[in-house]
Amino acid sequence: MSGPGRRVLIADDEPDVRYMLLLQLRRAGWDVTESADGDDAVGVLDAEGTGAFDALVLDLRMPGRSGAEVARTARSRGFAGPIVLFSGYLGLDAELDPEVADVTTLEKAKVGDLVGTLEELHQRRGGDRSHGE
Amino acid sequence: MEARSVVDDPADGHDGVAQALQHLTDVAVAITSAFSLDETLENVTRVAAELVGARLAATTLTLDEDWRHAVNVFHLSDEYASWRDYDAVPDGSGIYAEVVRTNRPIRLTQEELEADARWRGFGGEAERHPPLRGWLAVPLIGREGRNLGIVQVSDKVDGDFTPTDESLLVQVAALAAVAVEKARLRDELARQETARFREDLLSGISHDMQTPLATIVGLTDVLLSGVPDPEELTQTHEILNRQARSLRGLVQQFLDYSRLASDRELLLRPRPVDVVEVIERAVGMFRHQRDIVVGASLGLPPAEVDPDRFEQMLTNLIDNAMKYSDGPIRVVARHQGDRITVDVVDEGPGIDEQELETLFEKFHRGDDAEGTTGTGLGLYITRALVEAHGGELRTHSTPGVGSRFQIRLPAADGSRRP
Repeated sequence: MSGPGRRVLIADDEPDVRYMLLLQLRRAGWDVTESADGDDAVGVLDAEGTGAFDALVLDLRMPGRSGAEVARTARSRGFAGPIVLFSGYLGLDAELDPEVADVTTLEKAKVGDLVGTLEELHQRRGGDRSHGE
Repeated sequence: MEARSVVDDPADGHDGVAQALQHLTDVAVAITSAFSLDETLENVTRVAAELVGARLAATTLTLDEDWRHAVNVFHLSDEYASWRDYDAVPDGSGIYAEVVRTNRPIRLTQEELEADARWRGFGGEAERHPPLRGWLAVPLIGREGRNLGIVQVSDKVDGDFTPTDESLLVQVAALAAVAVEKARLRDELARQETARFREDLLSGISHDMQTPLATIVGLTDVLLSGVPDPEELTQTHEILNRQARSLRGLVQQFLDYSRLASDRELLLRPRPVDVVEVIERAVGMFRHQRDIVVGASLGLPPAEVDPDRFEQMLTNLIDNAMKYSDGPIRVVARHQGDRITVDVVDEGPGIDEQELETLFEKFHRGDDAEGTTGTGLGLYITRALVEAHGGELRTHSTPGVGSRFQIRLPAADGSRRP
């Protein structure tokens, strides 16, 4: 099920969490690019274009730009693929901007379910790489 | 207590009025300055007895005539000492309930009381109730005319209760009603504040535990689904160890908090400890995230500390520096007299003087804490730990330059410099 060349960008300021996500996603056949925070993630999107990625996995709370801000930026640049936001805080849905409302959120403790969630969202969107405008 | 009425009838003329005013002022102070609801009620009851010169007084608080949960405070003179354990709960069937229901005072001599159709004796408590001799009762009336309870007096030292006694007691009740409502509001606010603290703490705990838990669960899933390559395996083990230790540290922190919150001493097992070794252990928890420089003066003697608690102090201070700064962090150990000092220095925005004062309060979180996490217990517990070792925690901060947290701990015996 893991087609070649599926790229995901992950952003989390906790290196240990990032490494765990990296290993999990790699196991599931994703080509993983890491960013250490929200600003870094936007930098990667600037450099490679939103079309270079099939999915984004973002920590909601990071120094600098938050995950929600990165998601908004990506959407405004035409990114149409799945975005998974996760957070250690409960009730985080309330913080989400309606503009990025199609974003899926996870509690951090359930980040283990991340791969499954991402696969499901990816399938639902037809597995196509979404191209930026 | 054998008090004559402190305010006699107007025959005393001008002096009597001045004295009465003076007394009412004292009464107002006694009633409104009480700190708790209990103290308020005790003051109200005592003042009511003294003001009209009565040997018996009682204040009862009810909520919407709910007598089962009524609060009663009694004031009995020495003649009534044998009734001081009287604690029967009123059942709402007595004449007192009439005062609550109508919100109007009742003043009766003993003969009038016994002749009154509304007086039905002491009901089921007749055996235990102190005897009465005349009766004056006024309602406690709160905002919007709502009844809060009743103040009653009996057995006036001189004769029967007078109209002046009644109007004095009405004044006392008016003050008391304000004080009771204020005390209830204060209690309610305190309850809400405690609830909010508890909520903040729980949300902080759950947040802080989520990162290590998610990492440990996620990585063990990876390990269970197949062996990673050797390099990945090493890093995976390192992270598992670090996150499990971080979880252990959080649990320790909450145990400490619960001991401190219940005024119990922190548990310590001090012994001579190699300072640099413990610093390296603490720093090892953060090196993967930040550049941390460790320095120590030559020939640094051991410190007399509990090594795990020492590591906990350092971890808290470094964690704090990580949260509030982006640049490098320095940890420097020195020997000064019979003390070992360890400085944790950051190049963050610094802390202004006002915040320095509240920094070590529990649940304090800095203004720049946006995007950072935590329970606000770290510095509070660190200071308690340092002080439990007979040490000190000092802070020095220059806005725009950075902050320095210095732990001063006892050096191990025999390590004093010649």
